[in-house]
Amino acid sequence: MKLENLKTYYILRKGLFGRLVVKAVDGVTLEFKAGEITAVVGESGCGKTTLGRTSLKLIEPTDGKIIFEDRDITHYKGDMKWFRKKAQIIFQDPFQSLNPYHSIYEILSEPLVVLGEKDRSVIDEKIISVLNEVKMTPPEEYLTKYPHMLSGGQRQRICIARALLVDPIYLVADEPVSMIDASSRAEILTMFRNIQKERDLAVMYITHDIATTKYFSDLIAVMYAGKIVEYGPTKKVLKNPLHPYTQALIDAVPDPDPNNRFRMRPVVPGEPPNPINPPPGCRFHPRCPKRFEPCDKEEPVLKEVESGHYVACHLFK
Amino acid sequence: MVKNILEVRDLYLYYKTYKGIVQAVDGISFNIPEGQTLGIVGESGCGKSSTANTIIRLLPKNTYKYEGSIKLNGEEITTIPMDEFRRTIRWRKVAMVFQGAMNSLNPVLKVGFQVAEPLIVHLGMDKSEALDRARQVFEKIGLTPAFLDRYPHELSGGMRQRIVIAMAMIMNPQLLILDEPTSALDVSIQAQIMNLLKSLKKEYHLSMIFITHDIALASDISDLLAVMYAGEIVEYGPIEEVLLNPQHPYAQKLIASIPRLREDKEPEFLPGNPPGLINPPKGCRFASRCPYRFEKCSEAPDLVWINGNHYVKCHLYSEGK
Repeated sequence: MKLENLKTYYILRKGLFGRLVVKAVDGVTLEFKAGEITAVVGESGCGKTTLGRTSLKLIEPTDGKIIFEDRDITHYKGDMKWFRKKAQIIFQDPFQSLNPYHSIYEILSEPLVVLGEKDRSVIDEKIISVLNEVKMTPPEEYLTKYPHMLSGGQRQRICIARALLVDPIYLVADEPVSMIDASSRAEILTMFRNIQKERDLAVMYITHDIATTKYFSDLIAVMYAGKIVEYGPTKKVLKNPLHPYTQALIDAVPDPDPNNRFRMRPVVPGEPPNPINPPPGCRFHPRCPKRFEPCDKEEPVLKEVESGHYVACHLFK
Repeated sequence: MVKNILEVRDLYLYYKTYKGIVQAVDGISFNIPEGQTLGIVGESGCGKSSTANTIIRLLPKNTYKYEGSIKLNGEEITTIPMDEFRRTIRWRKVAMVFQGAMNSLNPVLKVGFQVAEPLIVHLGMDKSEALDRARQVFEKIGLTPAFLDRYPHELSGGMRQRIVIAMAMIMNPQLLILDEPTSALDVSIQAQIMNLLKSLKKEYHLSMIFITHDIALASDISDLLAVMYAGEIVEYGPIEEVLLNPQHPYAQKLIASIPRLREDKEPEFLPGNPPGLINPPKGCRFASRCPYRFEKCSEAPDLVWINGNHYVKCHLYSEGK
């Protein structure tokens, strides 16, 4: 999966005097390779969810290209079933993304039926094997249950199983653990990581929790106001964050340490900008502690500073 | 010896539902010395918010059992009649910032008036005087007076959260209860709010109860830490001891499950789910998930004081193990 200069704008209001446009995703170029998890990190409203959904063509892109297996599908309008078999999504909220009136069996058989599988024994076999994969054992016990009988963690396993059923090669995981209790998060993510490695999946892991990216991603893309401000191997980015926004994001996350209470946390003032009217130049400049004269005029572009480590900031020429 | 602003002993709060009796808070005890902050951590549904509601006595209609002792500055407040409690304790001495309160501001009133309202209602101040006080509180929490005339929809989440904190602070309470005050905010805004709370704590010697599911966040402000599990406090003590040297197996597992950004430690995980609070297991409630369980765990454990102000509710530490 390759995204080239992808833009997704929402039109809020059309009228005689022009229109209001929300630039949710504004020129993102990313590549997702088999066997790699790319974490897209950013605060709410930065466009990370829109980016994920646009890559699956759940939202129509405004500009740019979506290239999947060397095929340009940006404006592809025909039957999407072949694409849906290969690209799937796990939603944030396992409480809202499972139909409460359907049993687990019905929930899991539906994608297969919709995508053309007719043989019941094949369907049953696939469901059992995928339930084993997400460690819902013994699987037979869960088939007749309904979502309300399961805990949050178990529901999210069902959501993961549903996405895996059609054997996709590209997965978008949109905040898969933010609604789950802390003690089960690590468990779900570890399981997901193992499945991803075994199946050699390309994954876009959308999250606001930069601490989990350290363990569950290979690459990290930091998004701010619709743009990628830093991109590179997770270890490198977390150890040596270059963009002032990435640094602020890392500084803001507390580690459990009793000494924390004696010191103030370094913070950037202000709030993320309004995506309707982002500030000129670098979008982070009004909050940036290191801004200097080109920052409010010229928009920085993503540059490779070290091998594989990109940053969009005037500090790095 | 610092005096305790709050002493809670054997506090119970049960709800009656059509499915049975929910043992939301089941015999918990703790102290908070003046000027200190107690962090209460635990998974969702473990009784954290119920504990807070019990202290400020916001009891639901289906309360089945409400027992125990809560002493505020040495004064028993559970036996005070409701009327008097409302007049003298709630908001005046104990104030609370509710979870998601920033989304429950009245959209048609200016925030300045909403902050000043308790003064008008409780103290009978006139409006201009009350707004004056609101202006002072706004300054304390880092908002310019211009914000007094704004409506909630004009403010961002972080600003609204500050307004809600201002509302709780306006009556100069001695104890401030914060129930997940930052869970709806982004990390950079969360850090701003945490810094604000730290400065309030330091400048006004404010005592707080900070309720969260995020232990790392709790460590950002707490002096004491209580770990709750299925309606009980399983470990309580100074944060240095509980966080760095947890004794209860659940506390150990919970702390080990935190992903750490600055250390090279793989997060561990804890299989299984907490028991339901309607019919919790007879013995230790953590027994079914505990790696160290032995026969005795089928009996309910007592509190074991480890040293000074640190206790744990586990048979591993009781005598004659």
